[in-house]
Amino acid sequence: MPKHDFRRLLFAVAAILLSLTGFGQTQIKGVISSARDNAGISGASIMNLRTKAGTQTDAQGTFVLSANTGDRLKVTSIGYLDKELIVLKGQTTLNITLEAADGSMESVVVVGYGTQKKVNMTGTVSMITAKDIEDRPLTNLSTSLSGLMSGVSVSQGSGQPGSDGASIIVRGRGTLSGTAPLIVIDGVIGALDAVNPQDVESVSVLKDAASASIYGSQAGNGVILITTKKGTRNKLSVNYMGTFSTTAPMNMPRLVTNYAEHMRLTNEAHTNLGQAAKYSALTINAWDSASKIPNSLTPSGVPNFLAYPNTDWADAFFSKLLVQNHNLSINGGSDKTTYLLSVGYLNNQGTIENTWSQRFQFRSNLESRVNKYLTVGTQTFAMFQNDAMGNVTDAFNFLRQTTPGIVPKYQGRFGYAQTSEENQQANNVFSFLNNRLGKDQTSRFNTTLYATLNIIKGLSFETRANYQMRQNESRSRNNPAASERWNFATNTQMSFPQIPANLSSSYGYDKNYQITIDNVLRYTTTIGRDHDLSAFVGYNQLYYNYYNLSASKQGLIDYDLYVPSTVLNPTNTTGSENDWAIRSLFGRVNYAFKGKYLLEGNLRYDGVSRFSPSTRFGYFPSASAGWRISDEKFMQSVKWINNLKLRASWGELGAYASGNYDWQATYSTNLYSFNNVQASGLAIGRYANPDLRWEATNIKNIGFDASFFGNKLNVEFDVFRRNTNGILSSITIPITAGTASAPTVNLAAVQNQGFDLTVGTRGTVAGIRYNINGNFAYTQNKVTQFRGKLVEGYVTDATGAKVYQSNLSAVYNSGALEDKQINEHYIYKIYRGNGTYFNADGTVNIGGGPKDGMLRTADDLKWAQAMLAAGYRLRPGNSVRRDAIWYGDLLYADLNGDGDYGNSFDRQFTGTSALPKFIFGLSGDLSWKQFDISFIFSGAAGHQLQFVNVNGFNGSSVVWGNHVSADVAADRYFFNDADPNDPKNNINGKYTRLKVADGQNTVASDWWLYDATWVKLRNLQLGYNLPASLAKKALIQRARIFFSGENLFMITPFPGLDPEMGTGFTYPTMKQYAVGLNVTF
Amino acid sequence: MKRIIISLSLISLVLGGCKKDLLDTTPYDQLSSENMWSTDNLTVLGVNAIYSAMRLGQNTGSASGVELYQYDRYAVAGMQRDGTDAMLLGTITPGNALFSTNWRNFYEGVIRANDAIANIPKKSPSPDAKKARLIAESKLLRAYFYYRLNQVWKGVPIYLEPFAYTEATKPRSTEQQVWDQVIKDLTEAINETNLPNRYAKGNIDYGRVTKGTAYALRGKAYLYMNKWAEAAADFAQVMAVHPSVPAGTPTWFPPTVLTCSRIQMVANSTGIKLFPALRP
Repeated sequence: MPKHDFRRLLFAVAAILLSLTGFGQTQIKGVISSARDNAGISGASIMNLRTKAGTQTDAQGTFVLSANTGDRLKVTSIGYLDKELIVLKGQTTLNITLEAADGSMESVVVVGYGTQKKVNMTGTVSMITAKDIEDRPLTNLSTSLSGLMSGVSVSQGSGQPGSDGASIIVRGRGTLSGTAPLIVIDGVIGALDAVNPQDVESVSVLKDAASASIYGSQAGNGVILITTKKGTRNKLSVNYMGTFSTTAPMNMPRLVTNYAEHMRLTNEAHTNLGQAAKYSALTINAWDSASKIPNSLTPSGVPNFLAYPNTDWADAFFSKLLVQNHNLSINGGSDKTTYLLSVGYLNNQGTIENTWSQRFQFRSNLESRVNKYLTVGTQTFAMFQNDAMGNVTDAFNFLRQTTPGIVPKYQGRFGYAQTSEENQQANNVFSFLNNRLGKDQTSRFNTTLYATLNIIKGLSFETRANYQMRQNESRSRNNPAASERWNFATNTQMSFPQIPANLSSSYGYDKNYQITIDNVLRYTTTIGRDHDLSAFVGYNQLYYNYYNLSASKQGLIDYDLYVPSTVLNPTNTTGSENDWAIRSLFGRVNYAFKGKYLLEGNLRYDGVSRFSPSTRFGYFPSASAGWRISDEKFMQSVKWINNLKLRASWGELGAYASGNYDWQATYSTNLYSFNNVQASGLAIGRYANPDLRWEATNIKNIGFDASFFGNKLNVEFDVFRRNTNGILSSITIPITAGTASAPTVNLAAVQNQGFDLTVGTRGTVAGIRYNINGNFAYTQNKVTQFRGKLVEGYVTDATGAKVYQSNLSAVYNSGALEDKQINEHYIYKIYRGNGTYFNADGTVNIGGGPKDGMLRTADDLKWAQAMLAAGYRLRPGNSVRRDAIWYGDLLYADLNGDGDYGNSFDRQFTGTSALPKFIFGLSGDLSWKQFDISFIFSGAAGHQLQFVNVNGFNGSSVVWGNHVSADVAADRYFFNDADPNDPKNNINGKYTRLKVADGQNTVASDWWLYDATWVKLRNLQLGYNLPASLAKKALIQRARIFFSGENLFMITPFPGLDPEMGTGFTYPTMKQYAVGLNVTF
Repeated sequence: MKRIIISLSLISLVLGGCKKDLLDTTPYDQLSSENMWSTDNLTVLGVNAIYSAMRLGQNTGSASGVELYQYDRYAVAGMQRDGTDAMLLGTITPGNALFSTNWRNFYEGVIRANDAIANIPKKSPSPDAKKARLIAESKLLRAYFYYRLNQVWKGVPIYLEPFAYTEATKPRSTEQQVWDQVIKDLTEAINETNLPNRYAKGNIDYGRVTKGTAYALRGKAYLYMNKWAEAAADFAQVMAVHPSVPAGTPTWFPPTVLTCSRIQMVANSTGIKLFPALRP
């Protein structure tokens, strides 16, 4: 018997049994409403599965149906998930809420200045809701978006607690200026990380011009809209969500940790160049033998592990610490007033000591219906963050500038170089990490007051005023103890605490605030039966101001007296201020004919303070259209297509990327003296450019939305082309124009095009509910206009000789060149010979030589010598010598064929940059009975990183007193030309030979160009939901216990720390293993 | 109806709150060109900046190549005070920044002077006598910068009005035309009754240019023009306004002027830039 039939039979038996026991049939009344807004759903069907009798709800969503106790009722409505429930004893009213089916007709998308039903949308918008990011041990909102939306690239540049926000690029890079999208929180421009992720109801990304142009000159890089949660009428719920997670760095540098080995490698780097070794065999042997018996005592009674350390700095530097996240919210309301109050506490210890961050966040969203036509409310957010003073920048800089021969810390003391042969400048990272004392505090406050007036039916007026501010207060001073360092082998203090007179104390304050006023007048109507019309006009103004002040003094009279008034000598006092403002009018018209033919038009008129009165105003129009093919008669027979809509849009956007006052000529100060008294002067500091304007972006987009097989499969696809003109660039001015700086001008143009694809599927198989969404996006940019085309090639000069000429320096600047990608790699190519050496006549074969560009054998070296002797040049060493070009060095190709191998004309564009061409994500959740599992993968591909010469991390450059990379040490080229049978010889090494001074192999070439593709498991959750029956007893609406892991693993061929962070070695992102509880009362 | 009245009054209240000059922002650490020259103080600061142009290229922390002793390199063969000097070694190329930097810095002085000469009459509220003196100082300083340019390049483009960077395209004038312009500016400065003959040491304006400076500079310009009589007459005027110059000092020999502390064109090291290159 098929499963379904069996279940049906069970129900039937149960129903019969129940009816036999004599319960009477009663009339059940109720309301079916949408879970989203509590509005009644009209036309929903409710059926008694026992009697097969059914009814439909009226316009208010009410119904009347007769049923017995124990009858099973099924509620269905287009666009909502089906619901089944059993009539309980004595029940006569039933209020049923239905959840909207994602991707269905009813689901609603937040767009600029409003919401739209997804079916009616003509623009391109991706949206996620609270469900997509809940129960994650997040430390900020921006990183949570990774992998969830097509075309939205999220890259986290640092995992440092308190400043670990990710940068977001929407649909690739389309300008040479900044790429940050506009962030709008509850209708007001703000900062993405100034929102507690737990308070977020939805995040929408406006990708095409039609959806974004309502934000006009600010929308050129896309718009991210964040809506926070609201209270629910006539209901009270209290929610607690908390996680505890242990942290570990996502990846650690791999360093040589055996000090004897480190010394041998450093010596090799010296002797390879014919220089004297730095460490004596005596010292190396001492370490070798002591390391075998680490717990034995030296003659002076010090344990070997202290006297002869082999420190793994990566291991010592990173620790497994804890992140705690607690959030409590109260959500509820009466008939007239709703409220959401939430408080969040985050204590993020990070992965390195003394780098913690503590954050408190508060939110109060209140709304009250004063009377029939007036609603007032507020959204108020406050945040206070306390950051540790750990000097992360210094610590990471010096992590590579130390050696395994130093004890990090022992009994509270920092270690020093333990042998006199070591570079005495070799650092102790902890000494830098702890070199500051004091406080670093950031607070934010953001409040909106709003009112909505329903003037007449269909006509309403909304007004809101917002004030927001962020301030940072820093009080820092030197930590004298940090410079106290010891040689534990001899128990001598090698470096002493600074005396108070040398110590400094700095107090700094900076603040920005923003005042926004926003008014919208809306009108919605239906004309006749078939014409739906809605429109609004709005006015917005925004003023932003930033200022700072900081003062430093040096010379404490005592360690404990450090407030500036007790410190002796002022060293530096600075302060500055800047501001900008924007004022706009905007409007939108939506028209739908029979709900099938959809049209939308937007217009924004912006005036921006950053441009001259004659250029500061401009229009940003957009238009879009949609055709719901699936609603046409001829499609009605195609049952497997539930929804099919074609969309097309066009529009103009802007980006006012210039500085705040760049259009103006300004007079800056200079100094002189009269009568031996300093006098000030004012002279033109920068030329005016009254024609300066915003960068103008034009986006064309076509796409479709489709749902198949009963909304089980949803597809969204968009193709776009974005042209940005008037990109800011500085120019060179004639020297006769003096010393004033050149104006910024609108010069360059970039084209960026690509596609985004989202595919989602949902359903139930064998009792397992699943919902899986994948997204994939491709973008490719090209500079279409800059300083001119690249022209290079051979010309005949006056003497008749052929010379190679290039106008590269005139047309290439800051990574931009016409017809190339932005920041396309422009590097040397490794020479690849054919493996032969000499021609039959004994002359050198100019196409011969080493096959992979590295001189590995005696024949290779002879060939290089013969090439030089024949008059060819091998750059940059250009000489076969131990300290120039030798065994284990690289040669560069002569691309222009001038016989000069690797001169500046031999660089080539690779067709790749550090910006991924492809980004993708895959997320899903599966649930079975009380258990659920969910995952989010994200990744990027199609980009390359140039990763060379990061001492100790990659490359064969060795510095005395710095780390050596373990990867390089393990597979480096080595050849002892005095002893070809030296067991150390490794002529097939992957890395070039070790050198203490290396101009030959550190050239930016394709040898050091790495594929930077990566895929990360962003989040994995396993949850258990308390059964409803059990929860009810404990007065719990819902309870979920879960394991949630962030950044659990990464797959990448890139050898650095994390390709998402680039090539830098900074605070790695955290791997988190969290257990948590989410409970609603 | 009541609802509509309330609505309209609220809307008008909200819209009435708009600030008219919201978009007219100006920098805080620099002065907008709109406001320059509009007060007495700004007028003085604007002219001070022309003096300051004589300090361009000076480092405060180390040798800059424009100090007095640096000029020894042109006098004493083979002497190198500050590392390798491509000009002395004979390895200098047209691409050497020595030439372009000096050109740029002299023209910066010209630009600042042009700005003052054009805008003080139009915008400054200072008393007429003060404006006349400041304009005379500006002309004198402009003459100085052209004098220096002409010394090196023998004929340069002449700009006498403020110009946009896009207008910096004039062809070179002849050496004679530049000398004529120098003489014209200096003569106008000399003829300005509000420009004092000299400032006593300790005067708040001590170090500003005076008629004495103008005579000295014009005399030297005449030397370049081979107008010996005019030069002699001007140097005589220098001694007339500076009676402490020892009697019997040959009037045509500029080092006299150099040794006369009271004629110092400027009160700091830049002042000496004026003279040492002046070996006739």
